[in-house]
Amino acid sequence: METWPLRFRPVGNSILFSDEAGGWFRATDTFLERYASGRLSGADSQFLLGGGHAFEREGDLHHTSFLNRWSRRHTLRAASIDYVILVPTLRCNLACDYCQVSRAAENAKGYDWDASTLARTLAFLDALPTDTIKIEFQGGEPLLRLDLLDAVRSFCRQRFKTAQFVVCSNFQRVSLEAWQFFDAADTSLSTSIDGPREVQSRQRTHDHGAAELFFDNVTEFVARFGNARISALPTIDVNNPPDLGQLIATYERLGLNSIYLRPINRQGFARRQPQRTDQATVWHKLYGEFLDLLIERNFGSERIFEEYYFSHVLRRVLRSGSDRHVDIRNPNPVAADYVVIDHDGTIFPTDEARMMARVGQINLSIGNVASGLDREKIDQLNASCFNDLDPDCQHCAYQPYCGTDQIDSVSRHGRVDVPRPETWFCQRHLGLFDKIFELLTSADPKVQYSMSRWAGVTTWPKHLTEVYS
Amino acid sequence: MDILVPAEFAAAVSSALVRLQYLYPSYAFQTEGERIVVTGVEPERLPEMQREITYALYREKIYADGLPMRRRLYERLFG
Repeated sequence: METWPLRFRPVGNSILFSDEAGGWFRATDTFLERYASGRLSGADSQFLLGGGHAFEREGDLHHTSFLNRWSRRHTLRAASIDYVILVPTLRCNLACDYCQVSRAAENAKGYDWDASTLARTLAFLDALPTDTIKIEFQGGEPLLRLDLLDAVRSFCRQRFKTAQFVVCSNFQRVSLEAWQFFDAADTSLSTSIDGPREVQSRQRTHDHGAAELFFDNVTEFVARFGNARISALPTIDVNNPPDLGQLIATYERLGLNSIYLRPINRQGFARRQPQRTDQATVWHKLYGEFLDLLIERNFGSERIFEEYYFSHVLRRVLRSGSDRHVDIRNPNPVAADYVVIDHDGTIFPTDEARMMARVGQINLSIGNVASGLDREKIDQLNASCFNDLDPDCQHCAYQPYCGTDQIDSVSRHGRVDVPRPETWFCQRHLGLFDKIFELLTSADPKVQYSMSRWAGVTTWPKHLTEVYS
Repeated sequence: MDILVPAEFAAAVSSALVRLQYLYPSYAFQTEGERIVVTGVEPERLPEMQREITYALYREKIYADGLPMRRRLYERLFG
């Protein structure tokens, strides 16, 4: 019998083991000693074989099954670009302190698509070898150019068999035409709700009246269209976080059940504000408290609240196929399934790359709608798009579930080969995975109640709490 | 502090030392016969460092032992 290489990490009072296909279990230190020194018992071998961590002969069912699971974890579902972020205007009617996506004043000139850029963008979309498309309108404030949104949507509805549209809006000023635009089953709203009115006012509108108007608009959206076509996320200032209970209550009042908690990324224009050196530690504490609040609140309730990113990463631990979130996937190739088209037709691999070019940090553009994609540049960026051979990741028990983000590495650290433990990406995700496995293996009924619903299962497997010895 | 390296981990010592020096640059790691000797460790961190050194040896041995399997896996999947 051969055992696939196992990585390990102390978690709580036991050791977490994982194989490269994502199989995992907990065991004692004495098992680790037997495994590492090559003195596995017959019972150990049977345990590992039964768990899919070993095989008798190459080509047998255990071996083939492992190869299948390994492949599925390394394969992106999308066969071509089918998710395009469009920036029809950089102009915005708000001036949030930590805006990182490069905005222009509402009345500025030269920051919108012209007729030529619109035509070339539609031609770019038309040439994509797919029948399915998802368009995300960003900005600036995209509702300032509803005419461009309408032109793109009309084209896509005719060109693709399936088309979905998301408008990322501050939802501050909503015209009659905008309300009509949202009155379509294929069109969703994504907006930012940082907390109760005082927090929204402090971080975004700088005006209580404007914050009130925003909440009225969100309430109106839910009243008209329900909560299935609206998503919202708070951006958290770890130096001055909102009251977490009030944050949940705000979302609850608005009829929203999913909250995507994100710390301010002090990049781009947001670099003007200082970044704490202990940000990861402070973030993990805050994030853990938030999850604990959700678990307490959910217990026994039919209405389940989730933290969106936690649920997503939990699914990445439990199965393959959760590979459309570009903040965490492996491999994470640029221009494989999504791109960003800026206000001047420049194509970027991510929104963060767009921001870096805008502030003059580095130009990672990968083409434009006039001349198409620059394959040589894409290949250069993709040379570091997987974590399997990273000298730190290859020893990490969380590698099969984690990802890599070369654009984020360049943005935050100026290069892609920074030792992983020193990066925000690694620090953030180590803490997140620690929390996931703490909760996955918990015997607390309250924890299991939320975890089963976040994972989408009806009962919680008892063996998850067991520790092999 | 010093740690006796069991014979089955002797081949992993050099790569473990490189990794430990990278992870803990303020300490000095070297070998003396069958032992790894570390200087600069604060007394309160001795148990933790003992564990980290042991784990580094485990990880490097597991990694080296697994390389032929990983190579065969890549050959199977990517030809």
